[in-house]
Amino acid sequence: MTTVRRWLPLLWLTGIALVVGVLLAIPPARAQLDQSFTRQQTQFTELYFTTGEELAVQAPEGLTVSFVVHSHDTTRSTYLVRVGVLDGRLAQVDEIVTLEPGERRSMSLVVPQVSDRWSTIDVDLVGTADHIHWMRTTGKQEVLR
Amino acid sequence: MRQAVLVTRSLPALRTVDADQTAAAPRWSVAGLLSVFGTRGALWLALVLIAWVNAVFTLAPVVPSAALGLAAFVVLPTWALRTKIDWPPLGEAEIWIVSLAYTLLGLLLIGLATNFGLPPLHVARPLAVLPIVTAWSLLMVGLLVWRADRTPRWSTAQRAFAAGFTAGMPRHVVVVVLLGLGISVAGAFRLNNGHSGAVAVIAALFWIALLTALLVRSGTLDAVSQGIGIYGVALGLLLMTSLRGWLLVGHDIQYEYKVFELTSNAAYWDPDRFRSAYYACLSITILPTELTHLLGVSGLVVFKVLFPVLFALVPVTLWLLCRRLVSRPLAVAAAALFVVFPTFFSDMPFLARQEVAFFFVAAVLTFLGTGATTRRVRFTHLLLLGVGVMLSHYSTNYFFLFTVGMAAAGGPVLALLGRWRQQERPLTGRRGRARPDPAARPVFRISWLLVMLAITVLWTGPITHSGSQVAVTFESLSASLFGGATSERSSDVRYSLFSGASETSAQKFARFEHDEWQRREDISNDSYLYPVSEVAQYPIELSPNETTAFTPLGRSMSTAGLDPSVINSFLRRSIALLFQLLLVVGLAGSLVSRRTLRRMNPELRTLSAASFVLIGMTVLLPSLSVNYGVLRAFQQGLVIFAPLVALGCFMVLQPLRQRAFIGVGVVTAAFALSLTGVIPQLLGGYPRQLHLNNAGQYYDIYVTHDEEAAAMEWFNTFVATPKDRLTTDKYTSSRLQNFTGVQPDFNLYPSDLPRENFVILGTTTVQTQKVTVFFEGDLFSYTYPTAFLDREKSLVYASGGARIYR
Repeated sequence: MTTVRRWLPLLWLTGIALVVGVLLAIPPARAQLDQSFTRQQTQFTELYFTTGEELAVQAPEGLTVSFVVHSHDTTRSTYLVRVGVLDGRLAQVDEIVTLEPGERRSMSLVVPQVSDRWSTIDVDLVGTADHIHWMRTTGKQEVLR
Repeated sequence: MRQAVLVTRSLPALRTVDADQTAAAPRWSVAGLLSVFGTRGALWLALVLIAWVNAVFTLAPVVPSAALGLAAFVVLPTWALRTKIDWPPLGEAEIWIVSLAYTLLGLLLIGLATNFGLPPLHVARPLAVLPIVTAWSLLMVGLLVWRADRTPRWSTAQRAFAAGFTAGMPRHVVVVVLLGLGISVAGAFRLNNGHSGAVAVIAALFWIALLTALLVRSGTLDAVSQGIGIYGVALGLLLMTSLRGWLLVGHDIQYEYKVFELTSNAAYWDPDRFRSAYYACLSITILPTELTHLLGVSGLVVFKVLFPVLFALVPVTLWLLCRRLVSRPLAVAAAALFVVFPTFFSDMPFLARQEVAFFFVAAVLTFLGTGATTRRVRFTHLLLLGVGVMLSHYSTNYFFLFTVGMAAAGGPVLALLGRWRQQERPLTGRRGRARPDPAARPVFRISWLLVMLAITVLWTGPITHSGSQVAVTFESLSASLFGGATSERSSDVRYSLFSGASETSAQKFARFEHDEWQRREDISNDSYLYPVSEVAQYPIELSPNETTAFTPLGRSMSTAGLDPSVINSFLRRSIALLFQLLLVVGLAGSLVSRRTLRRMNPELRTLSAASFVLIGMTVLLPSLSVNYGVLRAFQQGLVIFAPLVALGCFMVLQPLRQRAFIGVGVVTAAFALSLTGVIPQLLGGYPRQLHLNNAGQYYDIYVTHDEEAAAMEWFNTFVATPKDRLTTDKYTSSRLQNFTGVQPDFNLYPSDLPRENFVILGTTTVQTQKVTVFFEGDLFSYTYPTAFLDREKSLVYASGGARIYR
């Protein structure tokens, strides 16, 4: 076995390591390798009530609605959250929230001037398809969308 | 005198020759024991000890752990079995494959032994890491001590490794295969990351090109290159599907994984507690539990990577068998036809229990043509490997035993015909009976069949109580045969020679709807459901089959009057019929042609004929086509009759003479281009396939999304109590069963939906409003009225890919 042949496996491995190293040093190539050989975060946002029972609390100043927004984006995201309550008429309140990647934010928004005869609560991430709603009584209800 | 390893480029010469092998070895002796604990076995024992410590205490990271576990707990016992057993006259590579099958069988049996043997000794979790790794390590030691002077030598491994890197290994093929595997992985991962399927298409083209090259050069290429090439093509195509999705993806694999988790979490396999046919398959319960402990990898890696790695050996085994029993040119063609059949790469990665069972079937078939060996030796091998099939998968076992039984019954007829042909034109060139070849004596005897049937009855009856599926199948079979059942059958039979007329999707959907409403009418007190008047406001429509838009090439063809949709459909149907016609031609040719008679093993031919009859029964008997599936049956049949399909191909192309190799290569490449989805991808106008797209029916119903997993986490955190019921569609239910202790119902059809149930909509339904159902052997989708849920229920959870209503 010649010396070259003996070292051939090592030469091959070194060559491959060099090529991979060079590719990793070039940002576009590195991005392609990442996309091809590593798992990338699926980007989506969760919007949910944290309970099936006590999501809204009646107070003198209005109806307090609690919910959670959870970002799975890879960058900082800003959402316009709109909470609407139907009690014969529509009452709404908006709030802007900014979340870091992976951040889960519990929110409680007060919708003023809502009577205790409200029928439907709707929470909407404006500009996205995500919304949730809560109906106080069972049966066919009006959805605020 | 010890002899060095001989490794050359020729497969028969690849045999690792060790002079001790042929010497009469003492089985158990003090000297042997000492020799194992001396220089010869010390390194192996050290390896086992290090692997034991690493597995029990989880010391190393995943990749080194897996490599160490693989070397110590899989490769070492396989090698030891290869050197210590007195093998019948098989090829070297075949011996290695059967040795691996014995290693797997050993894992199954040691798992069973610890499972039932340790609880009486107050070990409540007999399948936990410590008992399993210890039991297997002790077995390793026992294996090293048994016939100690045949224990593999460390220096042999060193030399083989060095030879592989210098002269023996065809490096160019290895590099090509590794490159292709890299492209396959990248193609699947890029799709998983939401990118296009361009790299996956390149991977498919790569493997088709390699397969064509193997076929065209099958007469001149060396055997090792052929073997590595076939393994690479098989594994590359399997990984393109099995690696789709970051979570568990596929049909049967979802429930297979659930029974694995039941076993793994309890660290105990309890057939009395779960009386399910799936749970009775040790290939998806005990085996993956052991592999996760021994190799230190997750269950997901076992199901998505290790099982395909094992299954890819089946076409290689088929190739080896054909080389020995049929002819070398036919061998590559047989293996190629096996891997290009669409079920191989689109469904087998989702049938883990069948991947393992097919491997055992291939190992059993390896013994064809060993009729000259001692009957007792042959019987022992066949019985042990047959037990491997039985423990791995019930249907594969029934199918195989039925095939052998039919072959035993019909064999004499074919033998008579063959004998008549021999007398007409004897091989010797003279009239009269040719001398029978002792190696061609049948290896499957009635005694083997009876013993296998007895063991199967014992296993599926008193031990696992899993025989109900057989009873159901036989009941529906008898109903089909003797009346009393409807004639529904899977639409897959349209690809069959025996198909006849089949219902359209619209007709089936109409009957599906009728059945749903009929069920509602049959309920006496339906107050727990939504009123019919409410539900009726939301009509449901059948969704058309989605096809891709025409590509620029497809549009050009369409302009020229060649509709790509028609071309794609015609190609698929023609190829399906060609497969069957080539089998008939091959079967007939093997009976009447003098040349092929000389090469075709009579028992292989008889088994092929029996297998073909069984496929015909699957098509003609509706319940079998619905319950088992025609395409799965054909794939299983190909393990046996692929050589005859290849023979048919060569016979049809015989006028090309020396160019027949090229002809077979071109035909197989054409098959592969259509069946792997490359032609539809290049032209458009055909339903998308999962391994090339983030769309299509399989993508819609079998891919589990991160959004769905997150929704189930919400359900488990904020809702799940024993009283809560969760409803979804059948396929979302299947995908999500591994994320919650609450088994989701799938009565999502509005007229069946209970008011009080939570409802989860999966990604496909949220994004496209489509729901897919499986009805009488067929899949079809309808547009779900999500407005109905919005108006009737509270929407308590939402993301771009999942919704939960209460």
